[in-house]
Amino acid sequence: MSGLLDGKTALVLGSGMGSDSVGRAVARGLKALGAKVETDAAHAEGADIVIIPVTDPGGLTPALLAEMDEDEWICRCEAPLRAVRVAMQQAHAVLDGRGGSIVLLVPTISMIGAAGFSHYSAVGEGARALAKAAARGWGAKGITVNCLGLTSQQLCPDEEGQATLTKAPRALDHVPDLETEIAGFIATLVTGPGIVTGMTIMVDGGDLMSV
Amino acid sequence: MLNGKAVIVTGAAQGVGRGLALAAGAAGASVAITARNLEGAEAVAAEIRARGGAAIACRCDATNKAEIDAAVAGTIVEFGRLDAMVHNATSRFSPRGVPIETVTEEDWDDQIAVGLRGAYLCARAAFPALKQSGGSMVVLTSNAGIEGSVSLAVYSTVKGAQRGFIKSLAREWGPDGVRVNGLAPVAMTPAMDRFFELQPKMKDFLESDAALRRIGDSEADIGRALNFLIGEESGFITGQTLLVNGGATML
Repeated sequence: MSGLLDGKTALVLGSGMGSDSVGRAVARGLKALGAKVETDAAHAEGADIVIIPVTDPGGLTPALLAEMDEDEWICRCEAPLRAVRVAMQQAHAVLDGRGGSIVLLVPTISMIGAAGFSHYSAVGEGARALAKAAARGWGAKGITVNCLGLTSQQLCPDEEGQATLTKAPRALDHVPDLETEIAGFIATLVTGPGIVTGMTIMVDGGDLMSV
Repeated sequence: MLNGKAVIVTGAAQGVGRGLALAAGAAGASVAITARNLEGAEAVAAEIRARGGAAIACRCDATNKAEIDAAVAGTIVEFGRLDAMVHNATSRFSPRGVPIETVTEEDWDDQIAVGLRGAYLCARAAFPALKQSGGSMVVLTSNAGIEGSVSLAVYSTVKGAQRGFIKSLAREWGPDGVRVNGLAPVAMTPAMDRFFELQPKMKDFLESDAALRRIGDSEADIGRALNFLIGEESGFITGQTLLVNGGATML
């Protein structure tokens, strides 16, 4: 069966901590489209695509700042942000000299804010700013860096409820599925002309539109 | 404008922080100036007092919980209240141009500790007093966190992270009547002077980049914008980043 990603290799990195179910779902989808999937940067020579999920090691359990001690802050904010930075450096090492696409999977709640998630919002928006800095720095090397904005339900399937972030009704009739629809969108993005970089594209079914 | 209010400004011994502290003091606020450099903080406090204002200086490392807690407690002992916590302190590594692929652990750790953990520690220490006063928190962020900067990659990350932090905290503290905002300035500072000495063309570039064709003054331009953000006039503004840059980046 021929697929959009035949002959391509995708490195799907965990954020280093917490649930890697997001990465696994996307990896299955990319594989179904013909990509060879690696999960270890040390064995990813020749990769064309790097996927970096930006997840909450706390599994999206709310943590009020007033009740969060310094250790929890470090584990749920500084450590995952560091993991994103290390993943970006690994992505650069793999793609330097040959070009390719880096796609970060970021939470939309970090863009609009949510009570109990000051730590994770910092990770998400820090990752987006880092992606922009890298996009500017690596564009001349043929490396594009983009972010896909995902809902809490997409990032943490165990999360209850399907409420929209905004008070407006979701534009589409469903939240896109990671394995089938989001992986397909990634395939389209990374096999396109490579003229989009430094951007955040919401793949939340048409919920958040203000960013 | 800020009469009767007490304000803490971290990293206020020099640069933008000094301008913020002077402007708040000039507007009638009692100001606690914190810095690792106590002598520098004392000098700014003395400057405010010489103009007829009230100010104290606290030696405080913004990455140290005990020292931040002590600065908040000391401010409340001295002034009886706390209306605004302004986290301005930034790492000495911030202005060093390093792309992300070559950043050192020391550089990363220090910038995260001062900019991000400092914001968390300041917020946590100040919250009970801010809740009592119906006050606000302001974090000094940057255009680099919005647009991304190649050479200031870690700085961009920290400044972007602070904006995410601000938004969620604004939602978390809103029901308690506490506001949280960001302020992204472009201003002349001693660090900027040194930068322009090394790269003279950057001054022209930054001036021409701004619609108003000049670089801001830390006290007159940035400080007065802070006074607005921590004052009654902005009582319905929270979760926002105010860009005070003379019309450089426009959202």
